[in-house]
Amino acid sequence: MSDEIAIGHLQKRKIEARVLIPFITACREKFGDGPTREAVAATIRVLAAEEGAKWAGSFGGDVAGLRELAETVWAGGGGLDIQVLDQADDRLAFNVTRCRYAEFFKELGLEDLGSLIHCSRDHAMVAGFSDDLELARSQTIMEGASCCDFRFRRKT
Amino acid sequence: MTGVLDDYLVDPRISLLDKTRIQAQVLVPVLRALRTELGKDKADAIVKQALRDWSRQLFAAIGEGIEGSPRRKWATLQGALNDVSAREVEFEIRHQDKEALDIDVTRCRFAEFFRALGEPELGALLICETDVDIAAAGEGEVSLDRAQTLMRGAPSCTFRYKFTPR
Repeated sequence: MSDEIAIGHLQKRKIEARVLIPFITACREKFGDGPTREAVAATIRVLAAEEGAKWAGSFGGDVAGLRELAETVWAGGGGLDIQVLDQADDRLAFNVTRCRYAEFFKELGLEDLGSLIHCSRDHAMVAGFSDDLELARSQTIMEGASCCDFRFRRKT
Repeated sequence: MTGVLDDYLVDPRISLLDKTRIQAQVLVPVLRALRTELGKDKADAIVKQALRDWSRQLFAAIGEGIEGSPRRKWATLQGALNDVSAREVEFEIRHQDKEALDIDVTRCRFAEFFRALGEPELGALLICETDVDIAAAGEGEVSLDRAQTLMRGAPSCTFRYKFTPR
């Protein structure tokens, strides 16, 4: 397998989406949105947690590692414009002000699928990345907001 | 550079084998979860229908965008696919003339990947059926008969193309 950063996170997600979209669309037609959403979200959560654990191994499972992950992998190749607002040992706050992942799904008219197979990964990813950190995010560009407000903090 | 297969390859700098691996890595767990929910036959039927419809529509749309005769459309599409897949296969041309092209593929890294994964039918959907959909772009002037494939466990893939005389 080629190196993930060389392929680019944005490209990887687009390649996955090419086959996931027809598959999810067919499942929705057969079983309805609810059951499909549940089955897909559950699987995506498992995959994202595994990916988070792998990234923790590469970047270190702390706040500094998380920032490096966001800036190099997620934002790599122009995938995201990130504005870091606050960083300390126990927290990291940044806004995503442009998201080409969201643009990709919006071009296809499939923002709802984008939320399901892209944005929903992040919470599960953090769980795999670190036992101590959690993510609170009240809005996303995929859902129509002007920015995504990522707020990672140490669990209390 | 814009290529005819950009909608299929997503990014032409990524090898077709890497692209397929990325898709399998996400599809296989989703498919296996669905099999647990619905049973294997039902889940496999859904993935088959979804991926066949998607691939047929994708290549039909790409074919429509290529100028010329059906034969020309097929040659352009197949040539572009060969450019990205040739490095993953070993093959012998058994016969070639104006009316026929017989190729035996004797080694295929796509088949090796999907067979090792235990998902040859998914491999057939993502890889082998592409040749069928591309041949469909040449409908009326190109036909493909392929009795066996490495993906399904045969010792070779027997591609037998027939061309109507021009």
